[in-house]
Amino acid sequence: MSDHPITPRPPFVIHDYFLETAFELRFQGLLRQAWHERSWHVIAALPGSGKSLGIADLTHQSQGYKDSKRTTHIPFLAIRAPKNGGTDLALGTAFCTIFGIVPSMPWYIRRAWLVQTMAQAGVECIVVDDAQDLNLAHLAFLKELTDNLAAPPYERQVALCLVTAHSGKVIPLKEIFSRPDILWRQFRRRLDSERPFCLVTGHTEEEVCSILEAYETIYRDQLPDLHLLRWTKPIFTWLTHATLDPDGTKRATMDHLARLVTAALRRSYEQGASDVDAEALRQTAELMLLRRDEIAEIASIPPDSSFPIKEVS
Amino acid sequence: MAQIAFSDPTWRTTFPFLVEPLTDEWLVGLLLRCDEINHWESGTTLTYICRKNEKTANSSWTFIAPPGFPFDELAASLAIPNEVLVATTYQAELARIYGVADPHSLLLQASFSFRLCPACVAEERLLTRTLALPHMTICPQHRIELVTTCLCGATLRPFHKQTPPFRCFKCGLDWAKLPKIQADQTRSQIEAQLLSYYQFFWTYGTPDVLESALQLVYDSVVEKGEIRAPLSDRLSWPESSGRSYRRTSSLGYIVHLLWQLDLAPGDILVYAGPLPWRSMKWLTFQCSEPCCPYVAMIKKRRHILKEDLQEK
Repeated sequence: MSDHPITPRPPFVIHDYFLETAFELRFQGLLRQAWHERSWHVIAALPGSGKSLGIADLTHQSQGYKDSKRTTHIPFLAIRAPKNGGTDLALGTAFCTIFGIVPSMPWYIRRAWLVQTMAQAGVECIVVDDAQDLNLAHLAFLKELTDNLAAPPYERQVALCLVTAHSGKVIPLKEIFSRPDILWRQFRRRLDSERPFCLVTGHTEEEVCSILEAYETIYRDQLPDLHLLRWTKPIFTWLTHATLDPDGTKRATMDHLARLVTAALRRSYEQGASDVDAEALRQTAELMLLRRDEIAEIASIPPDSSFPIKEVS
Repeated sequence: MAQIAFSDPTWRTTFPFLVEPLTDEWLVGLLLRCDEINHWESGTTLTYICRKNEKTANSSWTFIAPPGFPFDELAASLAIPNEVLVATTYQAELARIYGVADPHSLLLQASFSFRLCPACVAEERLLTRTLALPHMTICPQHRIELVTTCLCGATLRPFHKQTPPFRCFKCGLDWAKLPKIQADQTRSQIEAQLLSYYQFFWTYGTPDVLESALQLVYDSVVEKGEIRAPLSDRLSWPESSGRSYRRTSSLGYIVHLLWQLDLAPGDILVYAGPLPWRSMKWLTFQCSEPCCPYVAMIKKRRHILKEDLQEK
């Protein structure tokens, strides 16, 4: 027996880098085009595709800044739609929050303030994430806001992208904009004539392959012999199983792929392996596919609490 | 100030549009410019900053040396250093001159009425700190009379709800459009002199210098044998409660006396030395010693002051 005890491995570290995947290229490409052409679109993708991450990444790339010597510049303004319905005030508040500290003021003043501020900050593209949560009051306010920006004295045409999560073949908002009311007809008219409703698809097997290649690079410091590419086919098959792809798109979402890979890598790492094997992947996939609704009973106390407990004085 | 990127956490804790103080800008002007650039009604920034701090929420400010003013809150909201903001008031200078940590505006003047230079407002939306100085009625830069009332007759107020910044609360006239009346030459010269006294105190002011100034004033009055202005027999120092300020100890009053008695800033500095014969005026003192150390010191101090003034 050796006198030197084996040093335990440090905990597995998950790297949550933003990967410029094929989906992101498609999705961000659409947003960029809308921004450039000042066009209006409803952009749908499956939940977990990476829409919000793509929007956040583009926001950082858009080089918004605050500068007392010059001004504040926010060409690409992205918000998340207010939850639980609410009035136009909720959407207005979401817009205001983007600018930083805004003292309280009556809503009728804030409406005008938003238009002035957006114009001064040089807003060129408005993106509303989770747009499936928008209600009629929100949509009417969006139209009012963009109309006021387009009118004198600002005369600023802005792009509008309503990014929604969809399920099946139904694209949210499409039905609303088909209604005969004047407001919706006006809204519909403002949408891009060529591609008003866009559906951005998930990853093909080939695209999954290139993502796995990226994961190999990212996690090689923790699993030196990592060779994920050879598992592309089974991984893609698992991810397009009816449980994870209920709409039968035969495409894999980034969320499922990331969960499967990182869970399998963690499992292998904790077992002291330097590569992931078929068994670790299979067990993880099984958890995700077959036992995803299983209820875990937590009855025992964890063996070692890693959080220091301090008495509150 | 460096640019704030969208990813910077400071973005969320700052106003939508940022301003930083211009040269010698007064806090009131900075607050108004912040309101204007952010498209807010006059006084919105001030109200927001004071509401954040419950202690100061109900205070009224004179903005000359506002004790307890939430400078740190405003500095954080504008992403500028705290000391840059403090420099938009006379707080630091008055604290040094009077040797108190939290000086009251009464140390500068007993009463205050808001006035402005329409030319400064027209050019840069600027309200300078000199607007807060007592006896100043002319803009030192433009040589025009400072304005206290609007063309409509309303007294100008720095902040008024539901009024855009830099505008009359009654008729809405932009302060930049107020009449620019050329100042009287004689009055300009007087105010230039008054300003030099203030400048002297901002640069060299300490409790000792202030005491010397009062002593000099006292001795001058005794020497001339006439009292042209009420004068306290001793300096009345402020108490911590801030209620014992006397008009006669305010800087504005002392400056006025110095001007009345035709005493130059150099006289004060010379008088501030550790002379054993303090009650005698240095100008009339003749020492019998061939190499008097005090005369040498006085000469040296005068020389330093002269050089200093020339540099400025």
